[in-house]
Amino acid sequence: MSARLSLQDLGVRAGEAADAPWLLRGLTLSLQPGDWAAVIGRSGAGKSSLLRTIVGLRAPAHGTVALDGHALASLPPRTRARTLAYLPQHAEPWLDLRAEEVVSLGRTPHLGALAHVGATQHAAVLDAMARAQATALRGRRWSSLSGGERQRIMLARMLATEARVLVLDEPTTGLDVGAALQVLHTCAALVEAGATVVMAMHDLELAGRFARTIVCLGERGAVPRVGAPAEVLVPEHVAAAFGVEVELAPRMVFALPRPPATPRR
Amino acid sequence: MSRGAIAAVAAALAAIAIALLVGPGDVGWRDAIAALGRGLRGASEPGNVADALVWTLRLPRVLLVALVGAALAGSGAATQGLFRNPLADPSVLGVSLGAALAAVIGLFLGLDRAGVWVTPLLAAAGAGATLLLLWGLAARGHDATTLLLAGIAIAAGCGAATSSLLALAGERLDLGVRVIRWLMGSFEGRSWAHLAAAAPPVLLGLALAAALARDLDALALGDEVAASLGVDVARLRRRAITAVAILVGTATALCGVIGFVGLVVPHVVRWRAGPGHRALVLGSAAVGAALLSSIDTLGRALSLPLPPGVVTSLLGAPAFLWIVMVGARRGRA
Repeated sequence: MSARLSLQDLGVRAGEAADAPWLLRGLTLSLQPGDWAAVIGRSGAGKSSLLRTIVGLRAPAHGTVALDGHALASLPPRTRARTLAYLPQHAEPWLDLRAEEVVSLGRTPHLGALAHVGATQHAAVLDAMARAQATALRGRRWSSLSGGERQRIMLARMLATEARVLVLDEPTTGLDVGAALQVLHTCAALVEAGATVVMAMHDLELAGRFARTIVCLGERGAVPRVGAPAEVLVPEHVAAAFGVEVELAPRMVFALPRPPATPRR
Repeated sequence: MSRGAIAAVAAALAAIAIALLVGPGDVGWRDAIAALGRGLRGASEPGNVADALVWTLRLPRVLLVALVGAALAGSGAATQGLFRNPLADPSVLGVSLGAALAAVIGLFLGLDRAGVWVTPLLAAAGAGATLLLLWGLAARGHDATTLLLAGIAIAAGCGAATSSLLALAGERLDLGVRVIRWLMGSFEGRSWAHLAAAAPPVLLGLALAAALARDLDALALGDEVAASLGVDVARLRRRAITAVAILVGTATALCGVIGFVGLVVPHVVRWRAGPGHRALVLGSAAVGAALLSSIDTLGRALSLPLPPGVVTSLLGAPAFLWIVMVGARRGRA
Protein backbone atom coordinates (compact mmCIF):
# COMPACT_ATOMS: atom_id res chain seq x y z
CA MET A 1 0.00 0.00 0.00
CA SER A 2 1.33 3.43 -0.90
CA ALA A 3 1.74 5.93 1.87
CA ARG A 4 -0.86 8.61 2.27
CA LEU A 5 1.77 11.34 2.09
CA SER A 6 5.29 10.60 0.98
CA LEU A 7 8.24 12.89 0.44
CA GLN A 8 10.97 11.39 -1.72
CA ASP A 9 14.45 12.95 -1.61
CA LEU A 10 12.81 16.35 -1.31
CA GLY A 11 14.91 19.48 -1.75
CA VAL A 12 13.68 23.01 -1.00
CA ARG A 13 15.43 26.22 -1.98
CA ALA A 14 15.14 29.64 -0.30
CA GLY A 15 13.39 31.11 -3.34
CA GLU A 16 11.87 30.25 -6.69
CA ALA A 17 15.11 31.02 -8.54
CA ALA A 18 17.09 28.02 -9.81
CA ASP A 19 20.27 29.22 -8.08
CA ALA A 20 18.68 30.17 -4.73
CA PRO A 21 20.50 28.58 -1.79
CA TRP A 22 19.22 25.26 -0.51
CA LEU A 23 17.19 25.33 2.68
CA LEU A 24 17.10 21.58 3.01
CA ARG A 25 17.95 18.56 0.92
CA GLY A 26 17.33 14.84 0.84
CA LEU A 27 14.20 14.72 3.00
CA THR A 28 12.49 11.36 2.69
CA LEU A 29 9.42 10.77 4.80
CA SER A 30 6.38 8.55 4.56
CA LEU A 31 3.25 9.22 6.58
CA GLN A 32 0.21 6.99 7.09
CA PRO A 33 -3.29 7.71 8.39
CA GLY A 34 -2.96 8.48 12.10
CA ASP A 35 0.55 9.89 11.78
CA TRP A 36 1.54 13.30 13.14
CA ALA A 37 4.83 14.81 12.02
CA ALA A 38 6.14 17.94 13.71
CA VAL A 39 8.55 20.13 11.73
CA ILE A 40 10.95 21.96 14.05
CA GLY A 41 13.94 24.20 13.48
CA ARG A 42 15.07 27.71 14.11
CA SER A 43 13.47 30.71 12.42
CA GLY A 44 14.46 30.90 8.78
CA ALA A 45 15.45 27.24 8.67
CA GLY A 46 12.75 26.63 6.04
CA LYS A 47 9.79 25.23 7.99
CA SER A 48 7.23 27.34 6.12
CA SER A 49 8.92 26.78 2.76
CA LEU A 50 8.83 23.03 3.37
CA LEU A 51 5.13 23.11 4.24
CA ARG A 52 4.31 25.24 1.21
CA THR A 53 6.12 22.71 -0.97
CA ILE A 54 4.21 19.82 0.62
CA VAL A 55 0.93 21.63 -0.06
CA GLY A 56 1.85 22.33 -3.68
CA LEU A 57 2.02 26.13 -3.40
CA ARG A 58 5.54 25.90 -4.78
CA ALA A 59 7.23 23.24 -6.85
CA PRO A 60 9.87 21.05 -5.22
CA ALA A 61 13.36 22.12 -6.28
CA HIS A 62 14.28 18.43 -6.13
CA GLY A 63 12.47 15.16 -5.50
CA THR A 64 8.73 14.55 -5.25
CA VAL A 65 5.72 14.93 -3.00
CA ALA A 66 3.13 12.19 -3.48
CA LEU A 67 -0.40 11.89 -2.17
CA ASP A 68 -1.82 8.35 -2.00
CA GLY A 69 0.85 7.33 -4.49
CA HIS A 70 0.09 10.09 -7.00
CA ALA A 71 2.62 12.84 -7.63
CA LEU A 72 1.15 16.06 -6.25
CA ALA A 73 1.92 17.98 -9.43
CA SER A 74 -0.18 15.54 -11.48
CA LEU A 75 -3.35 16.10 -9.44
CA PRO A 76 -5.91 18.69 -10.55
CA PRO A 77 -5.85 21.54 -7.99
CA ARG A 78 -9.41 20.99 -6.83
CA THR A 79 -8.87 17.25 -6.34
CA ARG A 80 -5.72 17.99 -4.38
CA ALA A 81 -7.60 20.55 -2.27
CA ARG A 82 -10.16 17.93 -1.24
CA THR A 83 -7.39 15.66 0.06
CA LEU A 84 -4.81 18.11 1.39
CA ALA A 85 -5.67 21.17 3.48
CA TYR A 86 -3.37 23.96 4.57
CA LEU A 87 -3.43 26.45 7.42
CA PRO A 88 -0.83 29.18 6.82
CA GLN A 89 0.67 31.23 9.61
CA HIS A 90 -1.01 34.45 8.59
CA ALA A 91 -4.42 34.65 6.96
CA GLU A 92 -6.93 37.38 7.64
CA PRO A 93 -10.23 38.07 5.88
CA TRP A 94 -10.25 41.48 4.19
CA LEU A 95 -13.86 42.01 5.18
CA ASP A 96 -15.15 41.63 8.72
CA LEU A 97 -16.73 38.25 7.99
CA ARG A 98 -18.81 36.18 10.37
CA ALA A 99 -17.14 33.06 11.75
CA GLU A 100 -19.46 30.77 9.81
CA GLU A 101 -18.70 32.62 6.55
CA VAL A 102 -14.99 32.05 7.08
CA VAL A 103 -15.51 28.34 7.77
CA SER A 104 -17.70 27.89 4.70
CA LEU A 105 -14.78 29.06 2.51
CA GLY A 106 -13.35 25.61 3.26
CA ARG A 107 -16.08 24.16 1.05
CA THR A 108 -14.59 25.90 -2.02
CA PRO A 109 -13.14 22.71 -3.60
CA HIS A 110 -16.59 21.11 -3.40
CA LEU A 111 -18.54 24.00 -4.93
CA GLY A 112 -19.57 24.80 -8.48
CA ALA A 113 -18.35 28.02 -10.07
CA LEU A 114 -21.34 30.03 -8.85
CA ALA A 115 -20.64 29.08 -5.23
CA HIS A 116 -24.09 27.75 -4.46
CA VAL A 117 -23.98 26.42 -0.89
CA GLY A 118 -26.62 23.74 -0.53
CA ALA A 119 -27.84 21.76 2.49
CA THR A 120 -25.04 19.15 2.37
CA GLN A 121 -22.45 21.93 2.20
CA HIS A 122 -24.07 23.59 5.18
CA ALA A 123 -24.05 20.36 7.18
CA ALA A 124 -20.34 19.93 6.45
CA VAL A 125 -19.66 23.47 7.69
CA LEU A 126 -21.53 22.86 10.94
CA ASP A 127 -19.77 19.53 11.42
CA ALA A 128 -16.37 21.16 10.94
CA MET A 129 -17.23 23.88 13.47
CA ALA A 130 -18.32 21.25 15.97
CA ARG A 131 -15.07 19.30 15.58
CA ALA A 132 -13.04 22.47 16.11
CA GLN A 133 -15.18 23.41 19.14
CA ALA A 134 -16.21 26.57 17.34
CA THR A 135 -19.97 26.09 17.11
CA ALA A 136 -20.69 28.76 19.72
CA LEU A 137 -18.78 31.32 17.61
CA ARG A 138 -20.94 30.85 14.51
CA GLY A 139 -22.45 34.32 14.20
CA ARG A 140 -19.54 36.29 15.61
CA ARG A 141 -17.63 38.80 13.51
CA TRP A 142 -13.92 38.22 12.89
CA SER A 143 -12.99 41.54 14.52
CA SER A 144 -14.68 40.47 17.77
CA LEU A 145 -12.79 37.18 18.11
CA SER A 146 -9.73 36.59 20.28
CA GLY A 147 -6.58 35.01 18.87
CA GLY A 148 -7.53 31.56 20.19
CA GLU A 149 -11.06 31.83 18.82
CA ARG A 150 -9.75 32.91 15.42
CA GLN A 151 -7.43 29.91 15.30
CA ARG A 152 -10.34 27.57 16.11
CA ILE A 153 -12.30 29.15 13.23
CA MET A 154 -9.32 28.70 10.90
CA LEU A 155 -9.05 25.10 12.03
CA ALA A 156 -12.75 24.59 11.28
CA ARG A 157 -12.22 26.27 7.87
CA MET A 158 -9.52 23.71 7.20
CA LEU A 159 -11.65 20.78 8.37
CA ALA A 160 -14.56 21.92 6.19
CA THR A 161 -12.54 20.78 3.16
CA GLU A 162 -12.92 17.19 4.50
CA ALA A 163 -9.25 16.69 3.61
CA ARG A 164 -7.45 13.74 5.24
CA VAL A 165 -4.01 15.33 5.19
CA LEU A 166 -3.73 18.50 7.27
CA VAL A 167 -0.72 20.79 6.97
CA LEU A 168 -0.51 23.51 9.61
CA ASP A 169 2.11 26.26 9.96
CA GLU A 170 2.68 27.05 13.66
CA PRO A 171 -1.03 27.17 14.54
CA THR A 172 -0.34 27.90 18.22
CA THR A 173 1.88 30.96 17.72
CA GLY A 174 0.66 33.85 19.84
CA LEU A 175 -1.87 31.76 21.77
CA ASP A 176 -1.89 31.34 25.54
CA VAL A 177 -1.05 27.87 26.76
CA GLY A 178 -4.71 26.85 27.23
CA ALA A 179 -5.81 27.98 23.78
CA ALA A 180 -2.73 26.33 22.26
CA LEU A 181 -3.51 23.03 23.97
CA GLN A 182 -7.09 23.22 22.76
CA VAL A 183 -5.91 23.54 19.13
CA LEU A 184 -3.48 20.64 19.58
CA HIS A 185 -6.08 18.42 21.25
CA THR A 186 -8.45 19.03 18.35
CA CYS A 187 -5.69 17.90 15.98
CA ALA A 188 -4.97 14.89 18.19
CA ALA A 189 -8.63 13.85 17.98
CA LEU A 190 -8.47 14.15 14.19
CA VAL A 191 -5.32 12.05 14.02
CA GLU A 192 -6.98 9.43 16.19
CA ALA A 193 -9.85 9.41 13.69
CA GLY A 194 -7.41 8.69 10.86
CA ALA A 195 -6.17 12.08 9.68
CA THR A 196 -2.52 12.71 8.84
CA VAL A 197 -1.01 15.87 10.32
CA VAL A 198 2.14 17.75 9.34
CA MET A 199 2.69 20.72 11.65
CA ALA A 200 5.43 23.29 12.01
CA MET A 201 5.87 23.72 15.76
CA HIS A 202 8.04 26.11 17.73
CA ASP A 203 7.32 24.67 21.18
CA LEU A 204 9.59 21.64 21.47
CA GLU A 205 7.88 20.35 24.61
CA LEU A 206 4.49 20.26 22.87
CA ALA A 207 6.06 18.83 19.71
CA GLY A 208 7.48 15.97 21.72
CA ARG A 209 4.20 15.39 23.48
CA PHE A 210 1.84 15.34 20.45
CA ALA A 211 3.85 14.28 17.40
CA ARG A 212 4.85 10.73 16.53
CA THR A 213 7.58 11.86 14.14
CA ILE A 214 9.91 14.84 14.45
CA VAL A 215 11.45 16.44 11.37
CA CYS A 216 14.28 18.63 12.63
CA LEU A 217 15.71 21.14 10.16
CA GLY A 218 19.32 21.87 10.94
CA GLU A 219 21.93 23.92 9.10
CA ARG A 220 20.85 25.47 5.80
CA GLY A 221 21.08 22.93 3.01
CA ALA A 222 21.52 19.95 5.32
CA VAL A 223 19.51 16.75 5.39
CA PRO A 224 16.86 17.08 8.12
CA ARG A 225 16.99 14.66 11.04
CA VAL A 226 13.85 12.50 11.06
CA GLY A 227 12.79 10.18 13.86
CA ALA A 228 10.67 9.54 16.92
CA PRO A 229 10.68 12.31 19.57
CA ALA A 230 12.85 10.18 21.87
CA GLU A 231 15.53 9.95 19.14
CA VAL A 232 15.49 13.53 17.86
CA LEU A 233 14.54 15.64 20.86
CA VAL A 234 17.71 14.90 22.78
CA PRO A 235 20.06 17.60 24.08
CA GLU A 236 22.86 17.13 21.56
CA HIS A 237 20.58 17.30 18.46
CA VAL A 238 18.49 20.18 19.78
CA ALA A 239 21.65 22.08 20.72
CA ALA A 240 23.06 21.59 17.23
CA ALA A 241 19.87 22.51 15.39
CA PHE A 242 19.03 25.61 17.42
CA GLY A 243 22.51 26.82 18.27
CA VAL A 244 21.84 26.75 21.99
CA GLU A 245 23.08 24.91 25.03
CA VAL A 246 20.59 22.49 26.54
CA GLU A 247 20.35 21.73 30.21
CA LEU A 248 17.89 19.23 31.66
CA ALA A 249 15.89 20.62 34.56
CA PRO A 250 12.57 20.09 36.32
CA ARG A 251 9.85 21.93 34.44
CA MET A 252 6.21 22.89 34.60
CA VAL A 253 3.92 20.76 32.43
CA PHE A 254 0.60 22.09 31.21
CA ALA A 255 -2.46 20.02 30.37
CA LEU A 256 -6.10 20.75 29.80
CA PRO A 257 -8.26 19.82 32.80
CA ARG A 258 -10.21 16.59 32.40
CA PRO A 259 -12.92 16.38 31.23
CA PRO A 260 -11.69 18.79 28.54
CA ALA A 261 -12.59 22.42 29.18
CA THR A 262 -15.74 23.69 27.52
CA PRO A 263 -14.99 26.18 24.73
CA ARG A 264 -14.32 29.56 26.24
CA ARG A 265 -16.47 32.42 25.05
CA MET B 1 -34.30 34.24 -5.24
CA SER B 2 -33.89 35.84 -1.87
CA ARG B 3 -36.00 38.82 -0.82
CA GLY B 4 -33.01 41.10 -1.23
CA ALA B 5 -32.47 39.95 -4.82
CA ILE B 6 -36.13 40.49 -5.65
CA ALA B 7 -35.97 43.95 -4.10
CA ALA B 8 -32.87 44.87 -6.12
CA VAL B 9 -34.37 43.72 -9.42
CA ALA B 10 -37.69 45.43 -8.59
CA ALA B 11 -35.83 48.67 -7.83
CA ALA B 12 -34.04 48.49 -11.18
CA LEU B 13 -37.27 47.84 -13.09
CA ALA B 14 -39.10 50.61 -11.22
CA ALA B 15 -36.28 53.09 -11.88
CA ILE B 16 -36.34 52.19 -15.58
CA ALA B 17 -40.13 52.56 -15.71
CA ILE B 18 -40.04 55.96 -13.98
CA ALA B 19 -37.22 57.10 -16.25
CA LEU B 20 -39.39 56.32 -19.27
CA LEU B 21 -42.12 58.66 -18.04
CA VAL B 22 -39.94 61.64 -17.29
CA GLY B 23 -38.39 64.10 -19.65
CA PRO B 24 -39.16 66.97 -21.96
CA GLY B 25 -42.45 66.60 -23.80
CA ASP B 26 -45.89 66.05 -22.31
CA VAL B 27 -46.53 62.31 -22.42
CA GLY B 28 -48.70 60.80 -19.69
CA TRP B 29 -48.07 57.29 -18.39
CA ARG B 30 -51.05 55.90 -20.34
CA ASP B 31 -49.70 57.36 -23.57
CA ALA B 32 -46.24 56.08 -22.69
CA ILE B 33 -47.50 52.54 -22.10
CA ALA B 34 -49.55 52.64 -25.30
CA ALA B 35 -46.48 53.83 -27.20
CA LEU B 36 -44.37 51.04 -25.68
CA GLY B 37 -47.01 48.49 -26.68
CA ARG B 38 -47.11 49.76 -30.26
CA GLY B 39 -43.32 49.70 -30.39
CA LEU B 40 -43.21 46.10 -29.13
CA ARG B 41 -45.73 45.06 -31.77
CA GLY B 42 -43.68 46.88 -34.39
CA ALA B 43 -46.65 49.14 -35.02
CA SER B 44 -45.22 52.52 -34.08
CA GLU B 45 -47.06 55.29 -35.88
CA PRO B 46 -44.86 57.69 -37.80
CA GLY B 47 -45.72 61.21 -36.72
CA ASN B 48 -47.09 60.12 -33.33
CA VAL B 49 -45.26 62.30 -30.77
CA ALA B 50 -45.58 59.78 -27.92
CA ASP B 51 -44.17 57.01 -30.10
CA ALA B 52 -41.23 59.12 -31.19
CA LEU B 53 -40.48 60.32 -27.66
CA VAL B 54 -40.88 57.07 -25.77
CA TRP B 55 -39.84 54.46 -28.27
CA THR B 56 -37.16 56.23 -30.26
CA LEU B 57 -35.65 58.67 -27.77
CA ARG B 58 -36.31 57.59 -24.20
CA LEU B 59 -36.33 53.78 -24.21
CA PRO B 60 -32.87 53.21 -25.76
CA ARG B 61 -31.34 55.91 -23.58
CA VAL B 62 -32.95 54.60 -20.40
CA LEU B 63 -31.95 51.01 -21.09
CA LEU B 64 -28.41 52.09 -21.98
CA VAL B 65 -28.11 54.08 -18.75
CA ALA B 66 -29.33 51.05 -16.77
CA LEU B 67 -26.80 48.80 -18.53
CA VAL B 68 -23.96 51.22 -17.87
CA GLY B 69 -24.96 51.46 -14.20
CA ALA B 70 -25.04 47.66 -14.00
CA ALA B 71 -21.64 47.41 -15.70
CA LEU B 72 -19.96 49.95 -13.43
CA ALA B 73 -21.39 48.59 -10.15
CA GLY B 74 -20.94 44.92 -11.08
CA SER B 75 -17.34 45.53 -12.10
CA GLY B 76 -16.80 47.45 -8.86
CA ALA B 77 -17.85 44.40 -6.84
CA ALA B 78 -15.44 42.19 -8.80
CA THR B 79 -12.60 44.72 -8.48
CA GLN B 80 -12.94 44.98 -4.70
CA GLY B 81 -12.97 41.19 -4.37
CA LEU B 82 -9.97 40.79 -6.65
CA PHE B 83 -7.85 43.34 -4.80
CA ARG B 84 -9.28 42.44 -1.38
CA ASN B 85 -9.69 46.15 -0.89
CA PRO B 86 -12.88 48.08 -0.13
CA LEU B 87 -11.34 51.21 -1.62
CA ALA B 88 -10.86 49.63 -5.01
CA ASP B 89 -12.99 51.00 -7.80
CA PRO B 90 -12.93 49.78 -11.39
CA SER B 91 -11.05 52.97 -12.33
CA VAL B 92 -8.01 51.84 -10.28
CA LEU B 93 -7.10 49.48 -13.11
CA GLY B 94 -6.68 52.51 -15.34
CA VAL B 95 -9.07 51.12 -17.93
CA SER B 96 -11.50 54.04 -17.94
CA LEU B 97 -8.74 56.65 -18.20
CA GLY B 98 -6.97 54.54 -20.86
CA ALA B 99 -10.23 54.57 -22.81
CA ALA B 100 -10.62 58.29 -22.22
CA LEU B 101 -7.10 59.07 -23.42
CA ALA B 102 -7.65 57.22 -26.71
CA ALA B 103 -10.96 59.01 -27.22
CA VAL B 104 -9.44 62.41 -26.45
CA ILE B 105 -6.56 61.79 -28.87
CA GLY B 106 -9.20 61.07 -31.52
CA LEU B 107 -11.05 64.29 -30.70
CA PHE B 108 -7.78 66.22 -30.73
CA LEU B 109 -6.92 64.95 -34.19
CA GLY B 110 -10.44 65.64 -35.37
CA LEU B 111 -11.09 62.00 -36.17
CA ASP B 112 -14.59 62.26 -34.70
CA ARG B 113 -15.69 64.16 -37.78
CA ALA B 114 -15.53 60.87 -39.68
CA GLY B 115 -18.61 59.57 -37.85
CA VAL B 116 -20.35 59.21 -34.50
CA TRP B 117 -18.80 55.80 -33.91
CA VAL B 118 -15.18 56.90 -34.10
CA THR B 119 -14.95 58.11 -30.51
CA PRO B 120 -16.60 55.04 -28.91
CA LEU B 121 -14.42 52.73 -31.02
CA LEU B 122 -11.27 54.60 -30.07
CA ALA B 123 -12.28 54.46 -26.40
CA ALA B 124 -12.88 50.72 -26.68
CA ALA B 125 -9.45 50.35 -28.28
CA GLY B 126 -7.93 52.37 -25.43
CA ALA B 127 -9.60 50.09 -22.88
CA GLY B 128 -8.36 47.05 -24.80
CA ALA B 129 -4.78 48.38 -24.90
CA THR B 130 -4.88 48.98 -21.14
CA LEU B 131 -6.18 45.44 -20.64
CA LEU B 132 -3.28 44.03 -22.70
CA LEU B 133 -0.83 45.98 -20.57
CA LEU B 134 -2.42 44.63 -17.37
CA TRP B 135 -2.39 41.08 -18.79
CA GLY B 136 1.31 41.46 -19.48
CA LEU B 137 1.91 42.48 -15.88
CA ALA B 138 -0.27 39.67 -14.49
CA ALA B 139 1.47 37.08 -16.71
CA ARG B 140 4.83 38.01 -15.18
CA GLY B 141 3.51 36.67 -11.90
CA HIS B 142 3.05 39.95 -10.09
CA ASP B 143 0.78 39.85 -7.07
CA ALA B 144 -2.44 41.79 -6.63
CA THR B 145 -0.81 44.72 -4.85
CA THR B 146 1.71 45.23 -7.67
CA LEU B 147 -1.12 45.04 -10.17
CA LEU B 148 -3.11 47.60 -8.19
CA LEU B 149 -0.16 49.99 -8.03
CA ALA B 150 0.49 49.49 -11.74
CA GLY B 151 -3.16 50.25 -12.47
CA ILE B 152 -2.94 53.45 -10.44
CA ALA B 153 0.22 54.41 -12.35
CA ILE B 154 -1.48 53.71 -15.69
CA ALA B 155 -4.49 55.78 -14.62
CA ALA B 156 -2.27 58.66 -13.49
CA GLY B 157 -0.25 58.54 -16.72
CA CYS B 158 -3.35 58.50 -18.93
CA GLY B 159 -4.91 61.28 -16.86
CA ALA B 160 -1.79 63.41 -17.22
CA ALA B 161 -1.63 62.80 -20.98
CA THR B 162 -5.29 63.75 -21.28
CA SER B 163 -4.69 66.95 -19.28
CA SER B 164 -1.72 67.78 -21.51
CA LEU B 165 -3.86 67.44 -24.60
CA LEU B 166 -6.50 69.64 -22.98
CA ALA B 167 -3.86 72.28 -22.20
CA LEU B 168 -2.54 72.10 -25.77
CA ALA B 169 -6.10 72.56 -26.98
CA GLY B 170 -6.47 75.69 -24.86
CA GLU B 171 -6.62 77.96 -27.87
CA ARG B 172 -9.21 75.84 -29.64
CA LEU B 173 -12.21 76.44 -27.44
CA ASP B 174 -14.63 74.26 -29.38
CA LEU B 175 -12.28 71.30 -29.06
CA GLY B 176 -11.81 71.87 -25.34
CA VAL B 177 -15.57 71.94 -24.84
CA ARG B 178 -16.05 68.73 -26.83
CA VAL B 179 -13.31 66.96 -24.86
CA ILE B 180 -14.60 68.07 -21.46
CA ARG B 181 -18.16 67.20 -22.37
CA TRP B 182 -17.06 63.72 -23.39
CA LEU B 183 -14.86 63.23 -20.33
CA MET B 184 -17.64 64.10 -17.90
CA GLY B 185 -19.97 61.57 -19.40
CA SER B 186 -23.16 62.04 -21.32
CA PHE B 187 -26.34 60.14 -22.07
CA GLU B 188 -27.60 62.65 -24.63
CA GLY B 189 -28.77 61.36 -27.98
CA ARG B 190 -28.03 57.70 -27.22
CA SER B 191 -29.92 55.49 -29.66
CA TRP B 192 -30.87 51.87 -30.25
CA ALA B 193 -27.54 51.48 -32.04
CA HIS B 194 -25.68 52.47 -28.86
CA LEU B 195 -27.79 50.03 -26.86
CA ALA B 196 -27.12 47.25 -29.35
CA ALA B 197 -23.39 47.94 -29.07
CA ALA B 198 -23.48 47.95 -25.26
CA ALA B 199 -25.73 44.99 -24.44
CA PRO B 200 -23.58 42.03 -25.61
CA PRO B 201 -20.30 43.08 -23.91
CA VAL B 202 -22.03 44.18 -20.70
CA LEU B 203 -24.03 40.96 -20.38
CA LEU B 204 -20.92 38.94 -21.24
CA GLY B 205 -18.82 40.84 -18.70
CA LEU B 206 -21.41 40.41 -15.94
CA ALA B 207 -21.76 36.69 -16.69
CA LEU B 208 -17.97 36.30 -16.57
CA ALA B 209 -17.75 38.20 -13.27
CA ALA B 210 -20.56 36.13 -11.73
CA ALA B 211 -18.89 32.92 -12.91
CA LEU B 212 -15.82 33.91 -10.88
CA ALA B 213 -17.92 34.16 -7.70
CA ARG B 214 -16.62 31.03 -5.96
CA ASP B 215 -12.98 31.86 -6.61
CA LEU B 216 -13.37 35.52 -5.62
CA ASP B 217 -14.98 34.33 -2.38
CA ALA B 218 -12.01 32.05 -1.72
CA LEU B 219 -9.66 35.04 -2.08
CA ALA B 220 -11.17 36.42 1.16
CA LEU B 221 -8.33 34.85 3.16
CA GLY B 222 -5.58 35.72 0.70
CA ASP B 223 -3.78 34.17 -2.27
CA GLU B 224 -2.20 31.30 -0.33
CA VAL B 225 -5.43 30.02 1.22
CA ALA B 226 -7.26 30.41 -2.08
CA ALA B 227 -4.54 28.45 -3.89
CA SER B 228 -4.62 25.74 -1.22
CA LEU B 229 -8.39 25.52 -1.79
CA GLY B 230 -7.77 24.63 -5.43
CA VAL B 231 -8.12 28.10 -6.98
CA ASP B 232 -5.76 28.97 -9.83
CA VAL B 233 -5.10 32.48 -8.53
CA ALA B 234 -3.16 33.71 -11.58
CA ARG B 235 -5.96 32.58 -13.91
CA LEU B 236 -8.59 34.12 -11.65
CA ARG B 237 -6.70 37.42 -11.75
CA ARG B 238 -6.55 37.40 -15.56
CA ARG B 239 -10.23 36.57 -15.89
CA ALA B 240 -11.37 39.15 -13.35
CA ILE B 241 -9.27 41.87 -15.04
CA THR B 242 -10.81 40.88 -18.36
CA ALA B 243 -14.37 41.04 -17.03
CA VAL B 244 -13.77 44.42 -15.41
CA ALA B 245 -12.10 45.83 -18.54
CA ILE B 246 -14.95 44.66 -20.77
CA LEU B 247 -17.52 46.25 -18.46
CA VAL B 248 -15.72 49.52 -17.77
CA GLY B 249 -14.41 49.82 -21.33
CA THR B 250 -17.91 49.46 -22.76
CA ALA B 251 -19.42 51.91 -20.28
CA THR B 252 -16.70 54.50 -20.89
CA ALA B 253 -16.76 54.10 -24.65
CA LEU B 254 -20.49 54.75 -24.85
CA CYS B 255 -21.12 57.23 -22.04
CA GLY B 256 -17.77 58.72 -20.99
CA VAL B 257 -16.12 58.59 -17.58
CA ILE B 258 -18.64 58.05 -14.77
CA GLY B 259 -17.15 57.67 -11.31
CA PHE B 260 -18.24 56.54 -7.87
CA VAL B 261 -20.96 54.07 -8.95
CA GLY B 262 -18.47 51.20 -8.95
CA LEU B 263 -17.04 52.25 -5.60
CA VAL B 264 -20.22 52.99 -3.65
CA VAL B 265 -22.82 50.47 -4.81
CA PRO B 266 -21.00 47.24 -3.76
CA HIS B 267 -20.65 48.59 -0.21
CA VAL B 268 -24.39 49.15 0.14
CA VAL B 269 -25.24 45.81 -1.47
CA ARG B 270 -22.82 43.99 0.83
CA TRP B 271 -24.84 45.11 3.86
CA ARG B 272 -27.86 43.19 2.63
CA ALA B 273 -26.42 40.47 0.40
CA GLY B 274 -23.40 39.57 2.52
CA PRO B 275 -19.87 38.96 1.24
CA GLY B 276 -20.63 36.19 -1.31
CA HIS B 277 -19.70 37.39 -4.80
CA ARG B 278 -22.55 35.74 -6.70
CA ALA B 279 -25.15 37.82 -4.87
CA LEU B 280 -22.76 40.75 -4.65
CA VAL B 281 -21.92 41.04 -8.38
CA LEU B 282 -25.48 40.51 -9.60
CA GLY B 283 -27.04 42.55 -6.77
CA SER B 284 -24.62 45.41 -7.42
CA ALA B 285 -25.51 45.27 -11.11
CA ALA B 286 -29.22 45.61 -10.32
CA VAL B 287 -28.71 48.39 -7.77
CA GLY B 288 -26.23 50.16 -10.08
CA ALA B 289 -28.82 50.09 -12.87
CA ALA B 290 -31.44 51.53 -10.50
CA LEU B 291 -29.05 54.20 -9.21
CA LEU B 292 -27.79 55.49 -12.54
CA SER B 293 -31.30 55.42 -14.03
CA SER B 294 -32.56 57.46 -11.08
CA ILE B 295 -29.72 59.96 -11.40
CA ASP B 296 -30.51 60.37 -15.09
CA THR B 297 -34.22 60.76 -14.32
CA LEU B 298 -33.46 63.37 -11.69
CA GLY B 299 -31.24 65.29 -14.07
CA ARG B 300 -33.89 65.28 -16.80
CA ALA B 301 -36.76 66.11 -14.45
CA LEU B 302 -34.91 69.13 -13.04
CA SER B 303 -33.35 69.94 -16.44
CA LEU B 304 -29.98 69.98 -14.67
CA PRO B 305 -27.30 71.27 -16.98
CA LEU B 306 -24.79 68.94 -15.34
CA PRO B 307 -23.30 65.89 -17.04
CA PRO B 308 -24.04 62.55 -15.29
CA GLY B 309 -20.39 61.94 -14.41
CA VAL B 310 -20.47 65.13 -12.34
CA VAL B 311 -23.81 64.29 -10.71
CA THR B 312 -22.64 60.81 -9.67
CA SER B 313 -19.56 62.34 -8.07
CA LEU B 314 -21.54 65.15 -6.42
CA LEU B 315 -23.95 62.64 -4.89
CA GLY B 316 -21.42 59.85 -4.55
CA ALA B 317 -18.88 61.69 -2.42
CA PRO B 318 -21.22 62.49 0.51
CA ALA B 319 -22.97 59.13 0.11
CA PHE B 320 -19.64 57.33 0.36
CA LEU B 321 -18.70 59.34 3.44
CA TRP B 322 -22.02 58.35 5.05
CA ILE B 323 -21.49 54.71 4.11
CA VAL B 324 -18.04 54.71 5.63
CA MET B 325 -19.32 56.23 8.88
CA VAL B 326 -22.29 53.83 9.13
CA GLY B 327 -20.08 50.93 8.12
CA ALA B 328 -17.60 51.82 10.84
CA ARG B 329 -20.42 51.92 13.39
CA ARG B 330 -21.78 48.59 12.22
CA GLY B 331 -18.31 47.12 12.40
CA ARG B 332 -18.08 46.33 8.72
CA ALA B 333 -17.21 48.73 5.96
